[in-house]
Amino acid sequence: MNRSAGVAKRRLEWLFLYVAGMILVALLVVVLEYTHRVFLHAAISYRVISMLTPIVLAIASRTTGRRWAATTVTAIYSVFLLGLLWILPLFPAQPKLGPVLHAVTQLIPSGFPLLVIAPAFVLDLLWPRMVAWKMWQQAIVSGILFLAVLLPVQWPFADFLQSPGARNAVFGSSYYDYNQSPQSYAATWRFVPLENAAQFREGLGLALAWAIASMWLGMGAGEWLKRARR
Amino acid sequence: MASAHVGSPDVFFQGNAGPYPLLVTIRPPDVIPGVAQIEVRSLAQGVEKIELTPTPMTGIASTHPPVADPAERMAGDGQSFEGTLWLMSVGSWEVHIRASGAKGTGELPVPVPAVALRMQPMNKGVSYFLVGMMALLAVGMVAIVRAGVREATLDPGLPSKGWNRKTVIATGCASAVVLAALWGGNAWWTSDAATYSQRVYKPLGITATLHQPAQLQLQITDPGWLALRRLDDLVPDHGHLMHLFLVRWPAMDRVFHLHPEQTAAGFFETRLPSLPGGVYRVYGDIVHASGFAETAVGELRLPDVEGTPVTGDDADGPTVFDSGYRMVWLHDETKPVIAKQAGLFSFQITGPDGRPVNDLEPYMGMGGHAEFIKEDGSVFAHVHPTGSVPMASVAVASPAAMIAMHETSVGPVVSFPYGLPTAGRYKVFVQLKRAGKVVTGAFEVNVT
Repeated sequence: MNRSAGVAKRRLEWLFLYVAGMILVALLVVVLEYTHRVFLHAAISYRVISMLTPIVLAIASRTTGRRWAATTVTAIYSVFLLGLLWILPLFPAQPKLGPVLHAVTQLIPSGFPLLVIAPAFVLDLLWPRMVAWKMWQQAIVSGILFLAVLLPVQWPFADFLQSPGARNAVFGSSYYDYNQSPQSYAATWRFVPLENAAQFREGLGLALAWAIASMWLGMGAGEWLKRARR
Repeated sequence: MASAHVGSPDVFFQGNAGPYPLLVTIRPPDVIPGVAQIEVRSLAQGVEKIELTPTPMTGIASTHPPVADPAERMAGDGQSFEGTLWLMSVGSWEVHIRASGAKGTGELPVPVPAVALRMQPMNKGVSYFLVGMMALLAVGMVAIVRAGVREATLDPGLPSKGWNRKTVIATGCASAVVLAALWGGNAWWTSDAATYSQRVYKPLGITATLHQPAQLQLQITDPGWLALRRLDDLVPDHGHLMHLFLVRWPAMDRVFHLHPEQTAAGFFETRLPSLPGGVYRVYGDIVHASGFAETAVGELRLPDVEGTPVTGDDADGPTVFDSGYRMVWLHDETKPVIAKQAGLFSFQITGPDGRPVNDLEPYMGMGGHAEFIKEDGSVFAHVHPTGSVPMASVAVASPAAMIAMHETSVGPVVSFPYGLPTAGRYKVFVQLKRAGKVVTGAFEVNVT
C-alpha cells in the first residue's frame, strides 16, 4: 500500500480498512461478556471498549490517511454485527448441551452493535484540525473526545435496548441464550449492579486513561506503519 | 472419595424403561465439565434404539431436556449400547434413557452425581509440546518486532541495517513485554487451578463417640467443599435419614447396619447392640434434598459393648444360620471377577434339603442390601437389587420410577448389579430378610 499509487493504492487502502474493521469485530467479540446490554450501565464495559477501540481507529486513520477512516472501520463493524443479529435468528436450532434453562427454537445472536461509530465520526471530523499538534497532545484530546462522545450516546441507548421498544427482531433485546434462566438479568431486562458509586467513578477514570493510552499507541503504530515498505 | 459410596464412582442401575428391562452402567467423569460413558444392556430382546439425555435432577433445567444423543449398538450379541454425554455443572444429574422398539417406547431416569473428583495433571507429551510452542512463539514475537524495527521502513532489495541503538531498545522492550505476558499468564493459570482445587470433592467425615452403656452419638463433619453443601437438607431413604454401617476393622468379621435418629442438623444417635471391642470403620449413607448422595466416613475404637439386640430394620452380622441353612453366592467359580465390569451378583438362601428357600421378604422395600468393602478400606459401596443408586436419589429423580421399584414380594434369588472398581480382595455382606428377621451373609471376592 505504501509503495503503490493511484487506483491500486486506493484499493489497498480499502482492504486495509476492511481488515481493521474485522480486527475491531474480533476484539469487541472477545469482550462480549463485558459489553452485553445488561452491563452497559457499568464502568467495566466502557473500560474495555476504551482499551480496544481507539488503537484500531488511530492505526486505520494514520496508516491510510483517508478522511473517514475511523467511521468506515466502525461502520464495517456495525454492519457485520447487524448482519449477525438479523440473519442468525432466521435459522431454527435446538439446544444440544444441558443444562437448558429455557427453550430456544432458533439461533441466538449476540446483540446490537456498540455505538462506537459515533465517537469515530467525531474523531474523523476533528482529526484534520489536530494535524499540527504533538502526538501526545493529540492522544489526550482524542482519548477525551472518544469517551465524551461514547458515553452520552451509548448510555441512553442502553436504556432503550432494555425497554419494550427494543424487544423485537430489529434490536434483538428479546433474545437470550438457553444457558440463561428466565430470571436472569438478560431475560428480565435489568442492568447488573456491578459497581458501587466509588468503583464506578474509578472505572470511568480508568476508561479515560485507557482511551488516551490506546489512542497514543495507535497513533504511534500508525505513523510507523505509514513508513513500512516491506 | 466419591459421593454415595467410597472409592466407587461408577453408577450401576437395573430398571425398566417401559416394557424393556435394562442394566445401565454409567461412568461419570473425574472433572466437571466432563464426559460420562454410558453402557445400556437390554436384558430382553426387542430394543431397537436407545437415546440418552442428561438434565440436572432438580430445578428449572430439569424441565428442559436438550436434544437426545443416540447410543450406538455395540458389537456382540446386539443387546448392548454405548454412548457418551457431557455433564456440564457440579451437582445431581440424571441420565434419561429412552428405549424404543417393537413394544413401544419407555423411559428410565438414572441418577448420576456430577462432581469434580480430582485435578488431572497434564499429559507429559502435551506439556513438552506446549512448552516448545510457547518458546517458539515468544522468540518469534521478539524476532518480528526486531525485524520490523530494523527493516520494515527500507524499500525491498536494500540490505538490512545492523544492530543499532533503536533496534536494541526495541528488542529489549519486546522481550520484556513477552516475558511479562508469560509471567502474567502463569499467575492467571495458577490462580484458576487453585480455585478449581477448592471445587474438588471432599467427602464428609463422621465422628462417633460412645456414651455408656450402649449409646453411640455421631456428628457429621464437613471439611469444607462447596458452600452449597448443607447438613440440614437430608431426605429419608426408606424412612431413615441415615443408614449407618459399622464394620470391625481390619478383619471385617462383624458388620452392623443401623439407623440412627437425627437429633439436630448433622447430629445423630443410636443404640448399639452387643458387640466385641475393637476398631470399627463407620460409614454413614445420607441423601440431600437435591438427590445428591454421600457417604460420611469415620473410625472409632469401641470396648466390648453390652447392648440391646437389633430390632426392626437394623441388622447385625454375619449371621450364624440355623443348621442346614446357608446363604449362597451363585457364580461360576472358574470365571474371574474383573474390575469395573458390570455384572450381577446373585444370592439365595438354601435350606437343609439344598433347595433355595421361597419365603424371602422385602427388606426396607428392596429384595436385599449388599455392601462391597475392599480389604484396605478404599472402597465401600452400598448396593441394592436396582443398583448402586440410593433409593432416595431415585425418588427425587422420578417418584413414579421409585414406586415401580418397590418390591412387595421377593424371589428366591436376589441379584445386585455392580462392578467392583479396582483389583484386590473384597468382602461382600449381603442382607436378606426372612421370617421377619434380617440375616447377613459374608463372602470374599478376589478381583483381577
